[in-house]
Amino acid sequence: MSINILIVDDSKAALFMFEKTIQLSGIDLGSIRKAVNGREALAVLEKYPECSLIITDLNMPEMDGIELLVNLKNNPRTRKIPVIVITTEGREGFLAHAMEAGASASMKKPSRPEEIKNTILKTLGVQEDESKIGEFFKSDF
Amino acid sequence: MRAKLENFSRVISDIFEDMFFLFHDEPIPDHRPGNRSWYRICIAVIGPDPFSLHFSFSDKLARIMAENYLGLDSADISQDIAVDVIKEAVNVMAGNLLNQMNDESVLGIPEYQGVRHQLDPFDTETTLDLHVEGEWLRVSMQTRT
Repeated sequence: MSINILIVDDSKAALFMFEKTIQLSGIDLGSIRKAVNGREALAVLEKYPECSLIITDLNMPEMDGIELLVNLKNNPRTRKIPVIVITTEGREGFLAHAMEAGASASMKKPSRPEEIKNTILKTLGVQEDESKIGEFFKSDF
Repeated sequence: MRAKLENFSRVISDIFEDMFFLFHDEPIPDHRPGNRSWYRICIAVIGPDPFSLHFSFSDKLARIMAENYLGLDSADISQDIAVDVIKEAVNVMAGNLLNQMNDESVLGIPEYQGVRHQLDPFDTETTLDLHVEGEWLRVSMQTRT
C-alpha cells in the first residue's frame, strides 16, 4: 500500500529535511505534499483528500498544530487520518494536550531518520519490509 | 540568569551535534570575532518568568549549518536558506531549553531581525559565546516584563 503523506511545518528547511528523510527511508511512498501552517494544510487536504498520514509541527504562525488537529478531528472527511505531531517541547503536559486533541503519535525535534521512519510505520501499523529499506538506514547514520 | 545560560550552553552543544554534526570548540582566550556579518534571530519565551533569547550567528556558521542539515553543496545555499535553517535551529534549541525548565512557559515564533555588522555588547551575566568550527554564535538572554 502506497502512503500519501502531508507534512506541515513553517520551516521550509524542516519540510525539506523531512521530505528527503522519508524519500530515503524505503517506505512505500505514493506522494508527499507540504504546507507551511495549519490553514494551508486544510486547503491542501480539500484538493488532495487521498492523504493517508499527516505529520505536523505544533508551533506555527496563523494556525498551529493543535488548532489543525481540532479542525481535522471535527471534519468527518479527515477525522480518521492519523496525525503525528512534531515538537521541540517534549514535556508530558504539552504532548498530552496534543494527544487529547487527537494526535496518534509524537516525535521530538531533532529526530534521527530511523526514529522518523519507525514512528511512521508504527502509526500506520505497517510491517517493515526489509527488502525496501534503503542503504541510507543501514549505515550507522 | 547565568545558571540558565550555562545550562543552555549544554543544550546548544547537543543540538549542534545531533542536528548539524558540528562540535563546539573550547574558547580561545582573548579571541575576538572581528569583522563578520551576523544573522540575528530572536525568540520569546512566554510564561511565569518571561524572557527572550537573541542569537547572532556568523554568516559562515549559518551556511555550514545549512549545508550539514540539508545535505546541500555550499554553492546551493542562499541567504534565505541559511536564515531558514538557523530559525529552525533556534526553535529547536529554545524548545529543548524549555524542556529542562520544568514550568508552563511556551515558545513564541523565531523572528529574523536581519543581518548586522556589529555584535551586541558582551555581558558576563546575560551573554554566551560559543565557538563552532572556528566560527561564532553569540546568545543573549533578556528578561521581559
